[in-house]
Amino acid sequence: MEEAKLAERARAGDTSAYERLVRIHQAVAFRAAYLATGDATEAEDATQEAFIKAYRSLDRFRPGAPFRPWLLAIVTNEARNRRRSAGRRAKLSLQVAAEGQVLPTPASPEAAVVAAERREELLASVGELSEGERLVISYRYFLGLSEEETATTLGCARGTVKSRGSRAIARLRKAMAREEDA
Amino acid sequence: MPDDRRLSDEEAERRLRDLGARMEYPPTPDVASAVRRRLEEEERSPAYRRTLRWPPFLAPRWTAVAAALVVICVLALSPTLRNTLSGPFAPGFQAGSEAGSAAKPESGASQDRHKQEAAGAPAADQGEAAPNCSPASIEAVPARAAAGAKFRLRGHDFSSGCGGGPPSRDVAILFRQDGRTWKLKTLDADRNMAFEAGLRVPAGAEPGPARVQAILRSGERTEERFIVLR
Repeated sequence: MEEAKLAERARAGDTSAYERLVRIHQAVAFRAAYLATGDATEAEDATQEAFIKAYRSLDRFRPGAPFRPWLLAIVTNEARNRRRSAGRRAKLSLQVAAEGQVLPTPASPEAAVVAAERREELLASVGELSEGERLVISYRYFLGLSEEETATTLGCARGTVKSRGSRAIARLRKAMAREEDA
Repeated sequence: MPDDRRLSDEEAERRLRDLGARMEYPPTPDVASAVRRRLEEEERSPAYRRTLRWPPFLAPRWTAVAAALVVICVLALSPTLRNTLSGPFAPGFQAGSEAGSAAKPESGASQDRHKQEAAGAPAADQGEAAPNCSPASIEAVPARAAAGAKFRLRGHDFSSGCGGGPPSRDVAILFRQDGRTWKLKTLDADRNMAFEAGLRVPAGAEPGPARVQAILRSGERTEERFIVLR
């Protein structure tokens, strides 16, 4: 059943339709929460709470509008609030998959080692960005959200996403260039 | 000094996308079932049906406010009606009949209830959350201990409804740290809506921050920070 119909049935109080909607989006919601909190347990709690809040706010969801960015905005809000109330800065505690697990391996073992090191360094550089820049980069390139979806999710204008993204990429380019020279 | 201009924006974006494709996240938990359980539990409670499923403009609170405004306007505009209706509530008024005296306390109670509703306070006899309704809470004593050590966990205000609901049953006690979860025990609250149990910090817990959580059957949860010592 298409998403819009599930959302419509959920709005009418059908919890099984909402459960199906949750199943469709729980992976991206959990990852978004994890990128915002840097803690798996916190991310799980934030995701569950956000889905409950989203259900209660379905009356305010515009029929026909894309569900994912609307939901991710609630998830991100919840995750950031939890992290702030815990009084700590989110660490980007992701790991890069071992070579060959996700994408094909480079030609030689040496090239694979160098590529893996570069990715680790790039990830560390993303972790050094400010929260606003880090979330724009994470949501755009790690979660694959469009510029517009990222803006809705982070509750800011599309222009803000563009400018934060450009600033972040300028910083990361410096980091990447340093890696190349090393 | 490195020349960062050597990398184009497109190349930087390509590398970020490549990084994103290789990223490893913790496994996605199944929140769908827990969310559905929580929603169904909430929907069974009368307070939820009254407060959450009404369209905003028809919510009971707003309806009560609108009704109060209409009554005030009618009283203000019609002297005859004002005299007729305000008699029973005027100071010194005494009911002239048996029915009148029997009805008097109820009118007072009803008046109080309307006052409460108009002020936005839920009526206690309708089973909604009373203002002094405390949320469930837990306390670990001590809140710092090494892996394998014993601690006591006390819970308060574990009832399935605020203000007089039955004590909560099957409260799952979990110990959580860095994405790992240990189920420590399942407890029932006593008639004082409280419980106390001796528990042990999981042997596999690492030194550092952790959390003890109590999860009700409805999916609602409360937690306490815990430090695992070396």
